Amino acid sequence: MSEGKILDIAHISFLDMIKVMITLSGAASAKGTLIRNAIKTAERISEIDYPTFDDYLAAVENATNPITMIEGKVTHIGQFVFGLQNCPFGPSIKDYNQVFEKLPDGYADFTAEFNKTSNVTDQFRVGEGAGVSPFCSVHQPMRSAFAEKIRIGGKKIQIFQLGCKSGGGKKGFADKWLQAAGVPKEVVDKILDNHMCCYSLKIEE
Amino acid sequence: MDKNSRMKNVLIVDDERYFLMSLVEGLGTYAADFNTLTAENGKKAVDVLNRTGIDLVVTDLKMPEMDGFELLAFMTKNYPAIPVIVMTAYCTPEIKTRLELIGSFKVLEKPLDFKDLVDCIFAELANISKGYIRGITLPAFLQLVEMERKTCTLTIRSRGRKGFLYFSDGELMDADNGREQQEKAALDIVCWDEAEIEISSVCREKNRNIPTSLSHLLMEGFRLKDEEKRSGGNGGSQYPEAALTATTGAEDFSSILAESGPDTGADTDIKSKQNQLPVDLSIIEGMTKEEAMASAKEILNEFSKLQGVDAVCLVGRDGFLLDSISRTGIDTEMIGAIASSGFGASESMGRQLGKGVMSISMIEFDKGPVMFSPVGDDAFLVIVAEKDSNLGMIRLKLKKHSAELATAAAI
Repeated sequence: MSEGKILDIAHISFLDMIKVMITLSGAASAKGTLIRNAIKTAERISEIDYPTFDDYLAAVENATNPITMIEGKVTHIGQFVFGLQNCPFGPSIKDYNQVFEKLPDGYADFTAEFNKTSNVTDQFRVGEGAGVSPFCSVHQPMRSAFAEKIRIGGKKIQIFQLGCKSGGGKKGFADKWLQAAGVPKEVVDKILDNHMCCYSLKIEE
Repeated sequence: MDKNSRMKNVLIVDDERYFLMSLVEGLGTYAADFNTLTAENGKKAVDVLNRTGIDLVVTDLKMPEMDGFELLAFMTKNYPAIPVIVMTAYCTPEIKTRLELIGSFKVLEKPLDFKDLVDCIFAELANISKGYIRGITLPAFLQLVEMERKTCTLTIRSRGRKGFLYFSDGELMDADNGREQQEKAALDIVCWDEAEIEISSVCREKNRNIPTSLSHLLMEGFRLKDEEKRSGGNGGSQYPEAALTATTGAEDFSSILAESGPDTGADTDIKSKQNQLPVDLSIIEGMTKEEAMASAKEILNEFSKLQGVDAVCLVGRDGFLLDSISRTGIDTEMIGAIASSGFGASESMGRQLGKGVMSISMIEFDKGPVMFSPVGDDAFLVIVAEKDSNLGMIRLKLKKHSAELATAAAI
């Protein structure tokens, strides 16, 4: 007798909820709703000021950094460029696929919509090709919005989403943000060989 | 006396001299109301029409040289705005059919009841209410005609060209620019600059030969006008053939290389997506974001001055506000977010029901309506209005400015 697996109903319903949103009000509206939701979540966290960048990195290690708390531990590759080994939505997708084998229809349109230039993706420096699934439209803006609550040495920080990798291994790059952050694409490409997500952090002058 | 206030001229065409004389004598009673001119056949009538400003033609059908049918055909082509009363002693089904093929005319059977003829002449003259429109652009005027559901013939003159647009109950039935008819002619005429518009409340065209909506024609006309400006055109060229096949500017959005959800091995099938914009992207190339948004702001300002408008918001399809003008106390950010779902839901419903492209969605509340209208593929406009707002004017402005707003939103 084969053993079953207990799934997280929140994972299943969240993925289906995205599909319902796309069907009922279109991909653009669904994208906006998810991003707004991410921003609203960020509004609820407290502001924090790390004295130095090393203190920031230490908070990542301790998992007390707000960004780490939502996405897991990230590796500082160097030059303020980070690589995230696991996608925070990985478990949700895995659970869903165990039951339904493939992700809901409409996700492709949604991802294309997220990658389109818009005021909000410009504001948070996300998308622009770095989106590889609808979950990126939650994860990337949420990280950037959280970053707005963080200071290092009293200075604001900004996140630039540089690239992301799908579970199947295909990489997506945000040329616009690569250029803005001054990070060569080859570097990000290499980082994504061993990570799912790549971004850079800038401390404002 | 100018064109608008001169005495009306009625041309009677009949080859029976005594009948003609008796009509002239009888109609002389109304010399204070209109002049009566005569012609003995169609050919002579054409001469009079070409020389004199005629307001109404009363014609027999059976005449030598050029009969009434030929005269009617000539008038339909050259003077479609002049109403015609047909007199005939033989109103057979065949004649009725022939007349219907030419157009729509009032028919009186011979022998005539003089009083009926006089009543008919006065009725037609009263209906003519011919006028000249100045100080309003042709597209804006056409939208008014549509909105007011007018039946009329518009004679449009511009830089030596002359064209006709035929409206019945506000619908554009046909068009003629002297070289082409139907949609091709309409697309040409709506692009004409500095147009002088003559309106006559007669529409002889009974069949709708232009299935395309007026708003679509105007949008296309607007696009062509800009295209012409950029290419240094003189505004008087023939409508470009290419524009008839390429009705919207299209931009190939680069395919997005992403094939799966992260971290699971389950790929999301992301196809390359071609996104069509109803704006010509070459317009955008020559415009800065600031210029585009300044132009959008002016339009929003125009909306905000309309009677009963409380807020007007230009919103990205994702629900994030691009710009807005509102009364104090209205949270336009919130309006954008909520309206995005409402707008998206309306579009989805239209798609599910196979209703085509959405133009306006309106929700009526006790205290007034909220309207959504798409502007291009990237944004939509939300108008929050009071109960006493002028909805017709709001709709008119929406049609008038949607292309400009779409351009700004696309930038």
